[in-house]
Amino acid sequence: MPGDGNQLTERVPDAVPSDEALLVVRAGEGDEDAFEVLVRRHGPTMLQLATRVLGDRADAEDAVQDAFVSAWRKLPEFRRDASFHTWLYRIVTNRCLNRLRARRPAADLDSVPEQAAPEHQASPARAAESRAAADALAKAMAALSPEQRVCWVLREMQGLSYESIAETVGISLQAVRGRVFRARRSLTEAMSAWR
Amino acid sequence: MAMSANRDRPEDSRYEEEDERLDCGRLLTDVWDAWDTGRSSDDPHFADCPHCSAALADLKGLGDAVRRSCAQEPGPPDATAVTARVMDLVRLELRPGRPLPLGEPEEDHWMVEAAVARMLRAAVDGLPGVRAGSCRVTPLDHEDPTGELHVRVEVAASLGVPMRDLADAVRARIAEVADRDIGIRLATTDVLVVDILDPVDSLDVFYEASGHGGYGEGNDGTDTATGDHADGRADGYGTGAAR
Amino acid sequence: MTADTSRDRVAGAAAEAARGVPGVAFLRPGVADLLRTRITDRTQRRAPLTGNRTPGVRVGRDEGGGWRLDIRLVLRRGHRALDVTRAVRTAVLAALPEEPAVSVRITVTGVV
Repeated sequence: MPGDGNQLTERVPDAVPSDEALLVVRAGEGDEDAFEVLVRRHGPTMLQLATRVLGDRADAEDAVQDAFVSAWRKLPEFRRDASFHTWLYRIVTNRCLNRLRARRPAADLDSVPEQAAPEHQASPARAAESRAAADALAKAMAALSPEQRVCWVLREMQGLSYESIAETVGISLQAVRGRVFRARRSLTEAMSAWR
Repeated sequence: MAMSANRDRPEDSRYEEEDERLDCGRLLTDVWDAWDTGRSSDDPHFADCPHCSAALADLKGLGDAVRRSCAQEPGPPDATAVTARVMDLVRLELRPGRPLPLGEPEEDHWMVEAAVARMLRAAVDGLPGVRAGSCRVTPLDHEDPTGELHVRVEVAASLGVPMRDLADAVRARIAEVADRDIGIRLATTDVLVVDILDPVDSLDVFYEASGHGGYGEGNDGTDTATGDHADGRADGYGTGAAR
Repeated sequence: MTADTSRDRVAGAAAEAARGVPGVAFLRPGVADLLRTRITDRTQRRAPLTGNRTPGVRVGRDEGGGWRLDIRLVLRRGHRALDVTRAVRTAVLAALPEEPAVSVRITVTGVV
């Protein structure tokens, strides 16, 4: 019954207006179908962000789920001149940060998932090399502090500016620079050992 | 640069304190900053210096691993399952709003505001070139919860429709649906144009084409004669003069 | 007949009468029944009746000893809300002919 996901989402009227500001206002006034359109629209991006930050898909789904439910609760207070995407991004990032902090460091190193291999790789040798690089990176990332990891992923994988990261995480620009620097140093050391 | 180490929060302290001075005398942060900002090719030192070159190679190697790692991802994740889980939870904590009186005051029949608003918005969406945003329905007299109602609806509209005609059409449509499809007693309807509809968006996506068929063009509007705010400047959410 | 069973009987009869009115998608369930009811609505099957047997119907006594019913329902799109609530009231009263004083409050909580 709860796994009946496809059926449940088919019900969304895809005829709700496509304009985001209208959808956000409607959702804030209790229109859950409008909210569903927003969840579908932003879900993949947020899931990708959370998966990169957390390094684990199941964990990422939990974080994104929590973030969206929290967004539903907070929507009535959402200021409409703000960007919904940015607001959501911040909520997801902070959920991920809390999850990283709650992880036990010892368990973390053991739980680095092996990267799933896409099936459309051209060269098997090159694919194996890429996979090995990805695995090495994942293991190196597991050694970062939660704060370093979040800032570094936002910078290097999500392509955010230092200013955007400071705003998203809610810390000073200087703190962001420090975290990214320390993450880079830790990762370059780990990766040069791998190479 | 200012020196202001924060001893209470080591994570936020000046990272230069942990910086590394390479054997050539350069700071690692400066070398990497030069790479970040694309200045590393401007300074011939970087190419000539083995220490700086090694530091840059490390960073490039890391960047390469990041690219490969991202390329390993099978594309944008499928959020179908998480969407379903979110909506199951959301539907356990709906925000229905207050009950509004249906029919005559003594009947004790009600409809929650969120449901009324949804039907009114759908009706507005059915008009060409108009989309409803906020829609609040409240008793005209807050002392009398069974009395007549006041609607305040915000719309986004395509350019080209005169504001007053637009407001009249919206008001007439709302009056029609309130009476014919719901059964609430409306006293007044305020229409506020708060945004310009993107021409692409205005290609008439109906909220629900089936089940709501048969709306005629509302044309009397005589019972919703007040509250013409349609001259609000249509320059975007949060900035319209009518707000 | 105890007070509880007579209350249950009134609630059950009212719920059944209300559910039979065209335009009533379903009676508004309690939180525990919500997911199941949504799925039931989609698959056109009846939800298994467990726990509260009459979700969406609350029954109390008013000061004069008559029944006071509070019915919550979700409207099916394409039906006029007020017509449906009036038909529900008529159907509920008709289903309880031997009950002397019955007052009915009806609330539409959603539209599907």
